[in-house]
Amino acid sequence: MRRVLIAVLVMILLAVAWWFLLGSRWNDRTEEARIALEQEQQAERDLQRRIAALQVVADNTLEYQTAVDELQRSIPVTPQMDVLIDELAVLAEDSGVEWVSGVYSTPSEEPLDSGIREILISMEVQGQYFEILGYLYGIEEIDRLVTIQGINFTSSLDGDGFNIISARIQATAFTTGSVVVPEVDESVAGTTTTTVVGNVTTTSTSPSSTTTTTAAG
Amino acid sequence: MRPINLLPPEQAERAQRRRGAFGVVFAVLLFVALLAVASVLLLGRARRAEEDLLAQQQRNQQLQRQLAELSDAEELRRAYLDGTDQVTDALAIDLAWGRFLNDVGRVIPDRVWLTTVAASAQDPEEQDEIEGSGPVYGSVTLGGVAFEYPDAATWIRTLDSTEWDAVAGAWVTTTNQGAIGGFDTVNFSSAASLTQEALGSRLDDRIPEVPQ
Repeated sequence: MRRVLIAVLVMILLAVAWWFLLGSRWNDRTEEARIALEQEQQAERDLQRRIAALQVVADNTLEYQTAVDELQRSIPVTPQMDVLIDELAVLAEDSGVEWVSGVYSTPSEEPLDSGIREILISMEVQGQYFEILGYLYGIEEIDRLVTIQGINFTSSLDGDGFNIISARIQATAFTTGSVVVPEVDESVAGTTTTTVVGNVTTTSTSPSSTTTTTAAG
Repeated sequence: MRPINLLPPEQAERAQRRRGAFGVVFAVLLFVALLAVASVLLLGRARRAEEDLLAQQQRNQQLQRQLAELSDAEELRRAYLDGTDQVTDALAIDLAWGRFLNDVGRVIPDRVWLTTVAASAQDPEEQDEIEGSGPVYGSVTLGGVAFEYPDAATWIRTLDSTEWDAVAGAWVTTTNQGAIGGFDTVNFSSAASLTQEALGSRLDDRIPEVPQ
């Protein structure tokens, strides 16, 4: 009976020693490999999904390139104010309004979430109601994306008795790039003063203290 | 037949102890053999799992190479998605001003004309909602002239009617008597909020469709 007890004890000790020295280690290896395999299988599914999506792009490069060009015409990477002013001027002419004035901010320093920067535009146009209506419809249609934040119409009669509307439009154009407008250093730029006494003109620039005197005649 | 053992009982006891000892040793050896079998099974399972993992990693590396070959397409796709995000961001609050002013011209009643229109877009998250009309996307003030007070009232009713969903919460702020060329008139000013119906649909038009 004692031998049996000792044998059972030995077997228990052997089993415990085997488990801690070998069994659990192999079991851990299996478990680690299984978890890593699941992750790799998930990665494979993601990769296959991405490849499938990119294959569609590769098979339709022309369509995608055209779409990207179109999107970049809406929101260009540089402010391209010349193109915008051209478009607005053509639109004003086509819709019959008179473009009286325009004030443009530089692109905002802080971009929005998507990385775009706002260029605030304040414009004044004059025309008849439906001409201005056409102008506003036109702004929505031009290649460059311009949104309107506010309008302010006031009406008056022109010399011929026609009702003329003066419209102030607060709008925003967008770009992804920023521009650095050089700051004018007053102390370096200095000021120019022109003085005319009789037929003698004196021009002085400070602080460089350059004085030019010209006698007329 | 009953077995007859003529050996001394001590020898029989020794033989029994020996058999007992062999039995114990045999049981321990059998147990060790079982542990060995379990070891082979566990080790084999671990190796198979590692081989599966290795094979999967090799497949993924091949897919990574395939993906790298599509880097131009990836760049193009990224440019497209960035562009759509930017346009969506820019058009977050895009009121259809042309349609709005067209509607003003359409609904304005006879015997009333407008002299001033001022409107601005607003962030709906910063405004209180109008009960029954939802979020507010802008506000508008309209000043005008009517022949008589009932004509001004007709304008307010028009502004507040369900016929024009883009405008809600209409309110008349002032009315006062005026005169044009010797005729009595009524000057009025009114205000209203612009609802979701005033929003444009440019987002759909501005994002070019591509095969997905």
